[in-house]
Amino acid sequence: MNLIKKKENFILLLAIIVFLTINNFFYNFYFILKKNYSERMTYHYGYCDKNGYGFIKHIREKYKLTNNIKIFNYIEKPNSEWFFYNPNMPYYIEKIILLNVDNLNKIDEENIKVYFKNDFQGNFKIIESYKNCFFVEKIND
Amino acid sequence: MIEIINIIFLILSMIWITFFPLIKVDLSSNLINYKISNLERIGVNLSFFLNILLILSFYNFNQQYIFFTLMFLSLGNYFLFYKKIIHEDLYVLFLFTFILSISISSNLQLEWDAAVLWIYKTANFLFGNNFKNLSEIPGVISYPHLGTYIWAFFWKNSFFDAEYVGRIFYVFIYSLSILIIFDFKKKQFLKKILLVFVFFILSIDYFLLSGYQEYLVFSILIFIFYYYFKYYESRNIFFLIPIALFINTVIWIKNEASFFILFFFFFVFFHYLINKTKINKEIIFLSIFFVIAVLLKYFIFYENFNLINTGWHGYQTSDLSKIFHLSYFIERSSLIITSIFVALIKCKVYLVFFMTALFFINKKNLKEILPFILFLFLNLLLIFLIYYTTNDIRWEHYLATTVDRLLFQTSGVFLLPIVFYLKENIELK
Repeated sequence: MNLIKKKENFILLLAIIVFLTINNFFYNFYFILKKNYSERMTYHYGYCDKNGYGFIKHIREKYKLTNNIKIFNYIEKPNSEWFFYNPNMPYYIEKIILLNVDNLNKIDEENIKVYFKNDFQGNFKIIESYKNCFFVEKIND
Repeated sequence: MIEIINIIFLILSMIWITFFPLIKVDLSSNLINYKISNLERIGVNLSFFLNILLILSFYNFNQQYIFFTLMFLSLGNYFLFYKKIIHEDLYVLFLFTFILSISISSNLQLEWDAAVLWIYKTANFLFGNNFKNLSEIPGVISYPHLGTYIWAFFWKNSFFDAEYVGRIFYVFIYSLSILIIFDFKKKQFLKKILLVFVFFILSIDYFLLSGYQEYLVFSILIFIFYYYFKYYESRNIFFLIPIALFINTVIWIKNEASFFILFFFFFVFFHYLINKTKINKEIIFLSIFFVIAVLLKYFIFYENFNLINTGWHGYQTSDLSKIFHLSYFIERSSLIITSIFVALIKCKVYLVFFMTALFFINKKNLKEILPFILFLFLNLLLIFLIYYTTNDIRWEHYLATTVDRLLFQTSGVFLLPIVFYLKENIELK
């Protein structure tokens, strides 16, 4: 290999390394290898914060939910329904998931009144909760 | 590891599919009497591929059958022309697509519009529905769907079920659009690859790779302008075919793309005018084709959903009497001009374009840059009028969140004059 060729290859390699570093390639590569898809989704979308991906996934798996489910997020975030949205499935009428609830209107230990964007949604029974995230089911008044 | 393998599989299949034997590599039996590079060929094939997907999106074809058919058809090309393919530029295409794909796989968050609008259209196609069913899903019906169909197409044909895998195509088309500008079949590989690195750094915006459709428009506009210059240099009408096909697809990706294409025609007419050449019949036919394609698109939307898009959801124009009022003019103009100015600074391609023009422009080459300045002016005028004429009370919110995206979509076009001036001044072949 002559000197000019060597020099060219060196510059090329150096440029590639700089480009990879600028794009955070090494960390991204490591992150994909270390964390699986679900963990990365939870990292970016939160478990019971931000978009609540982890909590929604847990509820869907535990209760074997196959239909679409309404999700009310009390912080300003894009709706989280798309995580498991299937346009060919109906929505559950009785079940909803509440994320980042800031002010819980308790009726008693098990039941709550749900308001979302100032609209009364009804009285619901808490099926499962984690911090300020709730999986609830409508109860007959 | 499975995800890395999946990413490699998808990128290779994208390159493989765009090897579809429409144009042979063997130059002696080529459809056109003109030497084209691998990347140019992929670009042409891509225009056909996107149109095939557009047509299929109106029907309920199984996306996996389509994928396997396209993969199988490319085999013919492989066996017939394998020895004649120069792989160098394909390696480069693979490398850049891979690096950027790793990034979207790691930072897989969808940004606002993607999570409230585009992903539902994608889900519609992913679960086997067609265009007609778009009225049944959340989001804005009148927004075009082709980008989301492609997203769903590669998501469906991936062996790993994750939303981001479909977006690898966005990275692929973006990488191709940057690389196509440089002619790798000639020498000076090192010089070109270093410039490619710079161009990627200038134009990369990971925010817009998070589910937005902007990169598709960005890339397709580059292809349209690139093939136009190929046509202008060679007068080979073959190059008008990918232009027409890309025009037909870009209007199905974002509504504002129709305006960009209209400005492209102004660009072309002006380019002919300043070069004192007569406008060819083919260009007139191409512009008629564009008008028909836009009308057809609106007809299809009207027939299926009984609506026609007139801007963002809830967009309405103010009264004429209000628009011409001085206080209205001062209040709106200052805010809009400030936003445009900020967006131009934010989008680094424009900065480099202005810088290039400032340093390299002279009497000899002024003619080359004037059509681009006209194109930029028309885009800025469009942006100004969109926000100036609306009576939407949230116009300031839209102004703050969309001006940079609008300007970004057309910014790729300005890489072409930058390369033109660099070729002149740094002895780039």
